Amino acid sequence: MGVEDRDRKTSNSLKITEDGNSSEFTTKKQPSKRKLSVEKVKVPDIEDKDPDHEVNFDKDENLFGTFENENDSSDEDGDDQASNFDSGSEDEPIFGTSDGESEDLSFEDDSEDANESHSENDETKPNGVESSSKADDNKLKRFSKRFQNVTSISNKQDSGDGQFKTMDSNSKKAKSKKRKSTGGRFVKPDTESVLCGETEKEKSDESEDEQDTERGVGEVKDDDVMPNKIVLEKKKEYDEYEEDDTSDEEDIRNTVGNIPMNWYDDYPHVGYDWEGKKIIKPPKGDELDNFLKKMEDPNFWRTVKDPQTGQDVILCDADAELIQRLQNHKIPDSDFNEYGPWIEWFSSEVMKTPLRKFPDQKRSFIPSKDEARQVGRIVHAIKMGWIKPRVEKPKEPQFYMLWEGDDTAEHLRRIHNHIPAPKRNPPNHAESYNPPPEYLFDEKELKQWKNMKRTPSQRKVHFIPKKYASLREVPFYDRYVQERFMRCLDLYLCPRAIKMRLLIQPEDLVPKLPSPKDLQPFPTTLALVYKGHTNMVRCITVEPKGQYLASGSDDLTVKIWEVATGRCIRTIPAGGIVRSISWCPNTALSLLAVAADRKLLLINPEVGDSLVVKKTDALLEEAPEQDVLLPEKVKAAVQWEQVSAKGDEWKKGIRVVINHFKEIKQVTWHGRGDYFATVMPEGQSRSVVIHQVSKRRSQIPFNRAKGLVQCVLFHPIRPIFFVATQKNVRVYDLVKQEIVKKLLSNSKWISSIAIHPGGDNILVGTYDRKILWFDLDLSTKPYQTLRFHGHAVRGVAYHKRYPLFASSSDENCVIVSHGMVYNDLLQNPLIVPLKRMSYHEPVNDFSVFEVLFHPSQPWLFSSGADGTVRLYT
Amino acid sequence: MGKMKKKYESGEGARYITRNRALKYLQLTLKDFRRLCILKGIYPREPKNRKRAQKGDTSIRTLYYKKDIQFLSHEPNIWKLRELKVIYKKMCRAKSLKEKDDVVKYRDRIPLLKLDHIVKERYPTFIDALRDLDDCLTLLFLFAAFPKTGKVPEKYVTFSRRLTVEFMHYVIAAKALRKVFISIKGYYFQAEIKGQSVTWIVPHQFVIDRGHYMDVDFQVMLNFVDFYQVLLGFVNFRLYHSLNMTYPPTFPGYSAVDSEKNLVDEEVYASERIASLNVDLARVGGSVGEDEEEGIDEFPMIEDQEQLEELKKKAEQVKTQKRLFKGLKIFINREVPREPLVFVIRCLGGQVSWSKTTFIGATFDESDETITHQIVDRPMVDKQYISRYYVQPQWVFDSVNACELLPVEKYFIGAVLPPHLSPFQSEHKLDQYMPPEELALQDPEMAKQLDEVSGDESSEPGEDDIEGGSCDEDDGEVESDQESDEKMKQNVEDVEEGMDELEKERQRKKNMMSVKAGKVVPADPYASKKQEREDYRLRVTMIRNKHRKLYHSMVKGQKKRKTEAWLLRKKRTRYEEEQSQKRKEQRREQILAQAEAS
Amino acid sequence: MAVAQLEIRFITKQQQYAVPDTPFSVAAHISCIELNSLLNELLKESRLDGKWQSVEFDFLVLNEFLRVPLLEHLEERSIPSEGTIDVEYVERHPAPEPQDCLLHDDWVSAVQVKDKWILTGCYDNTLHLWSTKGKHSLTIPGHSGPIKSVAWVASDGQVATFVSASHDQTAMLWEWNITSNAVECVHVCRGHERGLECVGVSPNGHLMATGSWDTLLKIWSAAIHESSSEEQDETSAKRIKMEHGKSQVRTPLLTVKGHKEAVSAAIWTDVNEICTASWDHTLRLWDAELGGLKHEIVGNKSFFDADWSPLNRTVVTASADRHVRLYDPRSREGSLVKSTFTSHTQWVQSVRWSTTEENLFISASYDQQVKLWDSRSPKAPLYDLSGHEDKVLCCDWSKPELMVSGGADNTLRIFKAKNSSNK
Repeated sequence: MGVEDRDRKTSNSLKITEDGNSSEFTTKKQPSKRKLSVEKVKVPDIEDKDPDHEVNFDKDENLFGTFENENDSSDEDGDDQASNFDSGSEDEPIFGTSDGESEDLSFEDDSEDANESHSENDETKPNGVESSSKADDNKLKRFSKRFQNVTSISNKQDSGDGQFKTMDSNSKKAKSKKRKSTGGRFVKPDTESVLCGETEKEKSDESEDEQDTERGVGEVKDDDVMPNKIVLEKKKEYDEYEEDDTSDEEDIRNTVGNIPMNWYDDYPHVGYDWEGKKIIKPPKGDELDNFLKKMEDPNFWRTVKDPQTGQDVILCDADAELIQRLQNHKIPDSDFNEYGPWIEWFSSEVMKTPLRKFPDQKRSFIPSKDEARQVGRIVHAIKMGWIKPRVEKPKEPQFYMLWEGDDTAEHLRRIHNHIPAPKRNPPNHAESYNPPPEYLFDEKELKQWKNMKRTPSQRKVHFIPKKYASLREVPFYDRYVQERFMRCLDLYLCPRAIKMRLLIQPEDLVPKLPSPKDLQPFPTTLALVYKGHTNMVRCITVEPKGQYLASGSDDLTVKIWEVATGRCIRTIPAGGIVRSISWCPNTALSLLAVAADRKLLLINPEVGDSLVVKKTDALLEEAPEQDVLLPEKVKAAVQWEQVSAKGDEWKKGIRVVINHFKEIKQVTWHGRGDYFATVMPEGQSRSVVIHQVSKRRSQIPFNRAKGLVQCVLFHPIRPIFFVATQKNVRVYDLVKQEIVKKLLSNSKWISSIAIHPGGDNILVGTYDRKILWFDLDLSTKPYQTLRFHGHAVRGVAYHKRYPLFASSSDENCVIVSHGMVYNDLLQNPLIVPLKRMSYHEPVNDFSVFEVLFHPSQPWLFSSGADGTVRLYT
Repeated sequence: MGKMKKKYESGEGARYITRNRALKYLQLTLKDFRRLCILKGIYPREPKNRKRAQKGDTSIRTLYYKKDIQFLSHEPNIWKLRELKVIYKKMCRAKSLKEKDDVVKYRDRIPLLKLDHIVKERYPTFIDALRDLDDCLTLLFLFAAFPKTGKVPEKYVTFSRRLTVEFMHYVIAAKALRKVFISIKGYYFQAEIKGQSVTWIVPHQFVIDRGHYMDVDFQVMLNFVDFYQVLLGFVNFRLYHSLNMTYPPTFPGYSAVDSEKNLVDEEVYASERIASLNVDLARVGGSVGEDEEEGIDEFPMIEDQEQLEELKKKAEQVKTQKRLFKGLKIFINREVPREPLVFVIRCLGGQVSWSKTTFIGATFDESDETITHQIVDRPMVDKQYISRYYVQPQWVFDSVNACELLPVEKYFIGAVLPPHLSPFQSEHKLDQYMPPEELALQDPEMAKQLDEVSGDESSEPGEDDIEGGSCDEDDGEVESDQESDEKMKQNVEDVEEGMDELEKERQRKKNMMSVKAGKVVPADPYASKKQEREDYRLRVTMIRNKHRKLYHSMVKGQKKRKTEAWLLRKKRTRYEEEQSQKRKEQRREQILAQAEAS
Repeated sequence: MAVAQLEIRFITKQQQYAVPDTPFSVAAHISCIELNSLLNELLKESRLDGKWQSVEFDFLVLNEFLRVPLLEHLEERSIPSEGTIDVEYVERHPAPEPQDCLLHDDWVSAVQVKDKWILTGCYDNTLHLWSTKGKHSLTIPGHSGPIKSVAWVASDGQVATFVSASHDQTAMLWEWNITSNAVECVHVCRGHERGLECVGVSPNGHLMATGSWDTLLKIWSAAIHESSSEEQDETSAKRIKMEHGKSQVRTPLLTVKGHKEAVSAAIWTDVNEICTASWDHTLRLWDAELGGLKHEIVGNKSFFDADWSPLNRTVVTASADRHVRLYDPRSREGSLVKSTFTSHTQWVQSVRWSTTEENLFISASYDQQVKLWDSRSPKAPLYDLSGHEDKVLCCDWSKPELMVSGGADNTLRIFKAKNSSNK
């Protein structure tokens, strides 16, 4: 790069020389310069400049020091000239003032520019075009100063001899220069006029002037790199020539140099002419003719006395005008456009030739060998391809035909089974800027929406629907950016997984079942209500024939009903809360097993066949003698007690009482009606007792407690005994005296159990709202778990003939279901819930206790806490 | 003996990798990793079984596919990222040392991530790219809307502006616009490009507000924009070539490319952009765009007729939609948001202009007599021409969605606009609420009803009838009661007095006796329904356990939707009642006024 | 709206009300009331002398009573409403009037009227004899179980015999001397193993049949002084005497086995033919001599009661639901159930035909209602006879003027049936 700079510099200087003499030079140059400086913004260079400026500056200072007096002198004479004028005539205010003014002007620049010179350099930058006049005289000062510099430099360079001439010539130039400078852009005529006085003098020492000019040029060359400076110098030199060829015909009479003329005040002559004769002062008229002259001479006002030759000089109009302009602080040149484009001489831009106060060294113009060598090396390297010329990087991506086909994928390594991001939900009506009125929030919804500030995800819509009367009122959506951002987050941060959306309706999940109509008959409506009990009816049982019904209640009674009419045939006090009651299945006996508290009563209801009734009484009249003696355990648990035929208990119908040592919860008959089992949940190991009516004997089948026994059940056909504890059901073989299997109900608490007449399906109701259908052939797990009920299930029952089963729960409802068990083992039971009947009134959160089917008819009985038994048909 | 199998060495445990482990594996900082993921489109995956996928850890981590991470590790840009890190380090060092030209040097060295191959990876086919264009467009349109002086680096803004404008031009040239919707968030546009429907949002007039940038991490968005710009660039390129147009296109009087100029003010930029929308693009192959006559004759794969018909209809509709505004000269007033309107109108072949004085690029003047419609948003217009309709902007959008030029009466100046419905809600789930306007769109007679309802409230004859019937019934009952009373009386009469308790009782009972004519017990019409419902409810209890939860959740959802629909309906009815009430009052007032006048 | 018109023609079998059968066109939704007024108008002007007191008519369209507007009626039966429709009209059967209420001490579970006397059986094991005027003449203890059914066998001026069946597994044959108002149990019919449900006496009064819970139907001789006594040897007679007061045990002539459940009704449809209804959902026709099963009708509910009308030779049944069904035991084809009468809301416990009019019968139900039906109007009864305050257990209409019903409110209700004037 050094190289480039170098040749650029040279080119510059060249340019300067060739198209120097045109004032547009700089302006023309500006753009080119900028172009060069576009790429790199060189902030630092600006600061770099500062130091050497400083240097120049104090250089100026001492230079000025040398000058001061000389300058002053010139001023002084100006001054007293003015005073002369004053003394001469007070009554030319215009001129006098004007002249004074002008002098002052010149004076003040000189004095000021010492301290201003530098500051202006930067000042001019900021205050652009705003006040032209001020700017102008700034310039003016500057020019003057420059001029000073020039002279000073020339001084230095001159040898001691002839210093005088050079000096005054310089100074003269300076004066003219100053004038011109004040004249701004250099207009020919007025310079002429101005200089008319002194031109002959200049002519005299042409030759030196020549040198001088050359030197000036030289000076220009080395010291003025700054364009405006150049301009000046150019101008100067240019004028020089002009002057010369004008000053040819002029002659300079006075040969005294540029000395203060007041030295000649008290002589009759002023200086000497070419022949060395004295130049006699012209006779100074007295006030009178002076006055006369003023009177008659039309252009007296513009006659000036030439201090050199005491002659009167008449200023030309241009001069006068110039002076006037100067007086009222106008730019001297009338046709100068103040408002023209401002050329920024001092700009932030770095120029190849920075503004310096001292000339560059010669060597800076001679191309340096070293650099040349470097260049050579680099060039060679480039040739050899060691250095790659930097290629311009593309600022933005280039596009081309990326995919060859619309849907032809070429094989690439891609992301592993890609899941495309789901699209945004399309906007709904609520989002419209003018939605249908129903979508707008009312106060309630608004409040609700606002309340959910904590949990925005639970809002129904994530924005507040708004209605705008017209399109122009719709503002920028305030959460728009956030939403986009959130979307971005979702796209790269949110875990993706393929989720199956199922297009089925909930109805499709509901299993297809035969319609209940096809499964007739089954109970559908309430037919009869058996009223009479005063407290909740815990248990019911039906006579095998189905003509009578027996119910046990908390009002300590057992009631016998006629099924068909709902007539209460008989009421038997049981002397305890009847928790379970069971009609003997043996039709040859009319016998009722009633569990009242700790007693188990065998009651003869005395209904049905009178012969049977009699036989039963006869059978139970007196106890058969015990041949075997019971084990202690049994004795402690239960004692049989014969009711005397005379006692009123007998009249009531109670035949035998079996006292238990704990409260009896359940009693159930064996299918043949000779054995029956009682359950005492509290009696741990003796909680199940099996009694035999014919032998009046009891036995305790289990000698270890397997948990809290809830209920027991005899298999209708085979010698199998079911024991339901809290959690599961054990199946024992009574013949082999062993456990067959254990049915696991994964539920908390079994409430009731029923067995299908077929004998290999059992139904288990649990307090945790489930009904379990076990198929004994299949497994120990429930074949099906039925969740018909919303509350604890209290009772379950099978129908003996029809494929029906029923269940009752605390939500005062009874549900009848179709439970068909097929004969071929391959076909699974068909279970269809048929009817839900809730007629019982709930009494302190008990409602229905036991459900029971009529042995022959498709009728259902249910016993409720409201003290009624109900019949559904 | 076989090798002992360790846990989590195969199956899900081996398939997933947590983010931290991925970072370690790639030796990237989280920031770079995120950037890479965004560019490559790698996202975490939801494991089937989190515990197993996390090797027994149950806490919730972000999991990636191990394969994806490996795939990521082969990305060449990783190296660029690493370089970048180094360069940045050096740069800030140079900065701190004030070594200016070093800084410059490093700045030059910053590599530009090349994303072309990534685009190709992520979108094997052009169609895939189109399918995924929604987010891209939406985000770029947002960035195009950003002011250049702001948080966002200005080159992003200018570049996305350029790309979006190019895209819009394509849509115009291809007449691909299908649906438009003015939402409170912005303008939704949906175009159909090569059978893919591309939807994007253009935000409303942007205003700088701190609130908009709240908790927004622009770095992330910029990463996305990086990729999307490249994507859209390639897509545009292909689209333009599909229309035989040069890419990048040159728009007279529009210079999105050089940036200094538009930095000055956004207004100029916007107006220029819009102006550019208003000029046709120079095509390569002359008027290739006129090939709109594609017949919908052959559907080889479709057998059934009605589906074919359906398709035909659709195609017909599309065709009409394409030249909906053909031959219309539409003039847009000041203050009407011009960009979307110009875009829409031009898409459907309309001519559009605006007042020269306010914005550049106007093609014809307001005083032009051939103008058919003038779009006005302010209620009043100083000077009206008879030769044209003055409609509100919504008319344009609604017509587009309706695929027909709607009657302008409802959209006149100052008229209360009919609700603006979303065309995107056309695919209805069952038991979803439909506002009456939408129903009206679907069948005309509904529309009539709607109109007359809105026109004037209909007197309800139904109610009167009902009342009449009811009162009749009452009379009947009354009569019967009277009869019974008479009976009672006569019974009372033939009571002989003076008898003992039993007799009294007997008499009482006797008096209770009565005879009524037999009535027909009307069969309960709902009985069967009730029965069915009950049966269904019972069947529900038989749902298999594994379906139970699902069923209940579905039912719950249904119920929720139903209630919402119901709520909306209720609100609507209430609103309409209010309206009719108002109208009544107005009428009354008018009448009163007239009375006073007379 | 335009009123649909129908063309109708009036026809009648009652000649005194005959009108010229010119077709009229009337509004489609015309109902009985309008038709009545119209018809009365016609009759009035048809009468030469303008005097005519209006008569209430009932109208039959395709011999079903018109209860609903005409058009509905037609639609229900899917009859085209074009062409002229024959509307037959008959004089409306006059409403029965409540006449009396007889108080008992317990549920009245059985009742039968014979010309001047009402015989009731109660759940307190007693029989009661009332005059139709409501005068209590006798209370007859003797049974040891609730009486489920009673029947008059015969009565001449001063002596009447009747039979009562009870849950104590016996039926008793009583002889009542009206003049001396003395009653004695002549025979005790033993043989059933469970409580009896019903007893029916043959038309000629020689035989009677009892059905019981032991599923058996037994046929006895209903004669009081038959020769059986003397062919019995002394010893047996003695034994009987000593065994049971002064009444003698009678054994069944015939036992018919066949039903699987309780036999709830036994009616003599002919001199030697018995129709039985049972809880096992069947109606059976037996030959009284041979005891063979003649015919069986299977219903879908268990029957509680049945009655047979010699006039129209059909059986009307009450079963364990709220419907009353009409069976034609003779018909061998078509649907078994001729028609179903639905108006009760509870079990119907008892049904009885009118003895005089072929279309009328009454039914007693647990919904405390007794209803008078015309077999031609299945939708609605002619009249509801209300008054019972509890389940109605039994009813009887064997005397054309009286409808009696006994219920669980311990009362017997008597309604006076008015005969239509044309009789």
